[in-house]
Amino acid sequence: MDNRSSFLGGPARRDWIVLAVVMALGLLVPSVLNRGLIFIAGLVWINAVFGLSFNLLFGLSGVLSFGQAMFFAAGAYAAAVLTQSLGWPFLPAWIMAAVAGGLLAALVGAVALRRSEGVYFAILTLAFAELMHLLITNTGMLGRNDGLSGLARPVLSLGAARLDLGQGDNFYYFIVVACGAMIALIRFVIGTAFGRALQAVKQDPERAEFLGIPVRLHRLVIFTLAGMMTAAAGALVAPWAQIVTPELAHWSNSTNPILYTLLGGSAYFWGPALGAVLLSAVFYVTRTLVGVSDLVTGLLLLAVVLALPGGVLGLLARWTGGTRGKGKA
Amino acid sequence: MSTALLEASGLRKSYGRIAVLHDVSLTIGADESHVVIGPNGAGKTTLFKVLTGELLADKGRVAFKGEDVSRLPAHKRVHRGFGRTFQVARVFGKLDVQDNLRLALEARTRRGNPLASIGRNVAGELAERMEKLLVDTGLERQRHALSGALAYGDRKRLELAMVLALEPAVLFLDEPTAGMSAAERQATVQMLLRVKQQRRVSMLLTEHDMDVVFGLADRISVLHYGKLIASGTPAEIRADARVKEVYLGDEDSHA
Repeated sequence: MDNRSSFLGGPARRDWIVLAVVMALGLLVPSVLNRGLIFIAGLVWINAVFGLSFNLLFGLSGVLSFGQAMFFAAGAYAAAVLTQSLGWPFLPAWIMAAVAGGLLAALVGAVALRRSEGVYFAILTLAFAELMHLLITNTGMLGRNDGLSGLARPVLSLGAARLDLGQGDNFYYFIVVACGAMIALIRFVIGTAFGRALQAVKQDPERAEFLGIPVRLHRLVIFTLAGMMTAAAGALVAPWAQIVTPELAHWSNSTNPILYTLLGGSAYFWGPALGAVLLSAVFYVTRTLVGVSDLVTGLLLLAVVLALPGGVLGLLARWTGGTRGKGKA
Repeated sequence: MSTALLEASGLRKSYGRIAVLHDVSLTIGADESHVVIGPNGAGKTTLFKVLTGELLADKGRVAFKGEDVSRLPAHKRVHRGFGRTFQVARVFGKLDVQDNLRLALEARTRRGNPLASIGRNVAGELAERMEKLLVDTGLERQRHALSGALAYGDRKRLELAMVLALEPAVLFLDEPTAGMSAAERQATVQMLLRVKQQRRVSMLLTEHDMDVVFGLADRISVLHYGKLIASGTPAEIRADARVKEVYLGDEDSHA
C-alpha cells in the first residue's frame, strides 16, 4: 500500500550513506579491475552524472528534454579547446566548460520554454541538439567529423601542491571525487525548497502558479542547472577518453540519459545512476557482437517500458513491499 | 460599503468570434464577500480566469489596491495578495496533507525567487503556521493522509488551507461547495464565515447553491450571457424581477 507522502528526495540521510559507500567502492575499483574496466568505470561515473542531471528535469520537474547531448558535447569540446588549443589549466577549463553549458542551456531554455511544453519542448531541444551537431561537424577548429584527439591528462596544481593526473589511475580517482561532488550537489538541490517547488510544478503546474510559484522561471532555472551539470560531466570525458568526437552531440547520445533513467526508475534518486551501471554492463557483455548491441538496447528499452514502468528500482520497491522499500529517494 | 479593494472595469474576453465577457465591471470592497451567480455558460469561470491572471482580458482593466494588475501573470498577482481555489479542487495528490501545506507556506516565503531560502531549513519557522491552518480547516487528524486519497470535501478544505497559507487579501473561490453533501456545504459556509471574520479577507465567489449564496454574500452580481445584469445586496437581488426571470426562479424549481 502506497500511503506515504514522499517528495522525491525525502529522507536524505540514506542517500548520503549510499553515496559514501558507492564512492568508497568506486575508489577500490583500480585495485581489483584491469585497465579496460577501469576506463569503463570512469565513463559510468560520468554517465551517472549525465543521467542524474537529466532526471533533475524529467523525474523532478516534469520537463522532457531530448537534446541533453548538446550540453554534454559543449562541455567536452569546451574542455578540449580550452586545455589543448588555449593551454588553460584543467580546473579553470572545467569550471568554464560548466559555465558554457549553463549559458547554452539558459539560451536554449529561454527560447524553447517560452512557447512550448511537453512533447513540443522535447522536439525543440532535439532540433537545437542537431544544430549543435551540425555546427561541430562543420567547424574546422573543432576538427569537423574527426573531432579533437591527443588530449592530455592534466596536472592539477593548487599552490605548491601538484598532482599529475596522467600518472597511473590518478585521473580515475579524480573522476570519482568530482562526480561524487556533483552527485552530492544534485541531491542537495532536490532537497531544497526550490526542489520541492519543482515537484509541485511537475504534479500540477497551474496549481503551482497559483501558489505564487513562477512555473516558467523555475523550469528555466532547473534546465540551466541541468545543462551546467551535464557540461561539467561531459568536460571530464575529454581528458579521460583523450578524444572528443561529434558523436557526443549526436541525438543517440541524448537518448542515453533517458535510457539510464527509464531503466533505473525516474521516481528514485538513484534510478539514473543504477541505469547507467546496468546499461554499461549490458554494453560490455555484448561488446563483441557487432551491430547486436543496438538491438539489445532497443529490446531492453521496450522491455523496461512495457514490463517495468517504474524501472528496476520500482520493481525492487514492489518486491520489498510498496514504495516504502529501499532506494525510494 | 467600504472602499474597493479590487476594481474590474470594462472587461471583455472573446474566444475567437464568441464573446464570453461583455464590458463586465465589478468591485470587491475590503472585508466584503461578493458572489457572482449565473446559469452555466454565463461566463463566471472566464471572469475568474481573467481576474486571477490565468487569461488576459482583451480589453478592460483590473486594479488591485489602486494598482493596475491586468497584465501581470498569475503568480505575481498571488504575490500581491490574490488567492484562488479551483472548481474541481486541485491539490498535490502524491503528497500528504502536511507536505501540501508546506509547499504553499514555502511558496509564500520564497515569493517566486527560485534561489530563496536555499541552504536554510525553514520547516521550524513554518511549523506553527501549519498547525494553525490544520486546526482552522479541521484537517489536524488527516495531516499524514495522502491528499489524493482524501474524501472530496476534505480535498477542497485542503486546497483552501493551502491558499490561506499564502495570506491572501482577496480569495477567489470558484464554486467552493461543488460536489459536496448538504452537511459538508453547511460546514464549509461556517468555515468561510469564520475565515472571513478572523483573517479579514475579501472574497469573490461563484456558487450555484442558493443557501450558500445567501449564507455568504454581502453583495451579489448576476452574470447572464457574459453581461452583468444586476449587482446589489442579497435583498436587492432577491427582489430583482429580471434576475428572477433568468435565474432565481429557475433555480427554485430544483433547489
